[in-house]
Amino acid sequence: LNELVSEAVARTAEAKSKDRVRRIARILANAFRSGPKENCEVERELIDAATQIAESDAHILGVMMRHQAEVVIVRCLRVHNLALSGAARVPGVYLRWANSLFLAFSAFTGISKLRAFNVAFSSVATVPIDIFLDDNLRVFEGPQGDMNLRQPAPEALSEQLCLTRSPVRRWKHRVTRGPSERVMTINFIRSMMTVAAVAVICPSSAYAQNTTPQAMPYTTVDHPEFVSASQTTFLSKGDILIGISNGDVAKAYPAAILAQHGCVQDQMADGPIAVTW
Amino acid sequence: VLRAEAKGQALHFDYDSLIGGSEVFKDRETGSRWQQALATAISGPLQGTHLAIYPFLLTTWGEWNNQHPNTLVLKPEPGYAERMAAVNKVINQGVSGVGPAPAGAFSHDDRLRPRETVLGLEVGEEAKAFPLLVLRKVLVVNDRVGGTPVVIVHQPASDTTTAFDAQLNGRALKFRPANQEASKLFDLETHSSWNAYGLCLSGRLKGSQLVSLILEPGFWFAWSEFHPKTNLYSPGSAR
Repeated sequence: LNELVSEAVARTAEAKSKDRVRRIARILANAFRSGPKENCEVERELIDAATQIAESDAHILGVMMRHQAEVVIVRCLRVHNLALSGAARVPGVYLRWANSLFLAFSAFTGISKLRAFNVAFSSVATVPIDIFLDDNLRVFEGPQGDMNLRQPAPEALSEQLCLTRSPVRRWKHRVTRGPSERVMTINFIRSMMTVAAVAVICPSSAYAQNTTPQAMPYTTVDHPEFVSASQTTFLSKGDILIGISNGDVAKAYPAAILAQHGCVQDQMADGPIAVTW
Repeated sequence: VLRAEAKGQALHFDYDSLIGGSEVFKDRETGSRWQQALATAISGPLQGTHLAIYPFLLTTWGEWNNQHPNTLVLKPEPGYAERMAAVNKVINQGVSGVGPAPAGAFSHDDRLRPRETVLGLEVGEEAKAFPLLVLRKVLVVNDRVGGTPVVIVHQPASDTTTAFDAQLNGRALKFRPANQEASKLFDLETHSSWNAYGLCLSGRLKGSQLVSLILEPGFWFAWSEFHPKTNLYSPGSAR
């Protein structure tokens, strides 16, 4: 690790931007956190990518961060034809404004464990694809998480991605026919690799730029507390809610709270209820 | 909103997983897993048991507060409060209908785009979906579902949809909007004036209240998955 640090210091001297230095620092921090290791190949590759990544990609990532609440994570029953095993549910990621592109990405990178994370898209090919073609490049593998509209705590962000090589190889194999098709394929792979690189390298630093407060645990509310309408300062007129009225009692459950908990248990005069979103 | 009790036992639910893009909860009492969209246990000791849906309304704070000035409001816990603005943004975009079904969804009923919001109504043996985008145009739908005459009322200002059994004292009524907001209606039979919550405000039927029906809002991919025989409302198809 000491050797890695001195290398990294040398690389930061070459880096032409503060952001790149910051990324390198993150990689080192993660390396130290994960404890002693025999070699630091993964970290070296990441530092390579971190110093080569274009600022335009980093910028796109920043935009993504600000929209990260829009990242909807679902389970993919079938990710194109490349699911690791036919019956397994492969967690995937789905983005509302570029979902087909992303599904293709998750298919051929063979992401098998992916918790809420942040991805940037770019058509600019800036990262050498070779770095992702090593066997079983496993980066920041994290605990298998629940998939939903939720975000990880910042410390969990660096433990997201697990990339495997074989689907990439197969995918490339399938599409090397005509010359034009091939060029397209390579560009596609490159841009996807950029995505992967950005996703691996930048989550923590990009998270820090993000102004949206971090997600809270997605857990049922067992003891809901209520306020009166006049004390309700946290809603605007147009905010969506679920309302229940029974006799003299009316209760409102704001969607923006329900969506963060999944379920609120409550008691009405005629029995217990579960308000779900 | 579900009644959290089955076979006389109160149940407490925790989020378990997603199936077909829809949430599954597990109850702490028996460990049974419940598919939310079906309100039915899909595994465990209570497998096959249905939970009753508790009457609820999906609306906006402005509209709810007007209707229920004395309402209580669920208070966000610390940490959750700070994220409400961001979550609201996502929720508001959710009704646009853009985007494919989540890859885990099993149903691919292409009568509508997968993420179009529909309001589902089940009466008797029939399930029928009313697309939000259509309701926003037609405002009031007189239809029959499961053999029962029903009226669906959509108030575009607050995107609030209500549904009622259109029968009063054994007679089926048909309604028309009385204003652009559909906050007032009149019935063709007596020309009495009604509000969007089934209460007759003036005219011969003044004071009458229609029986409310529960609408289940959701994405088309989920509704069509869990109600595979669903009918779909379109203007002109009303019975």
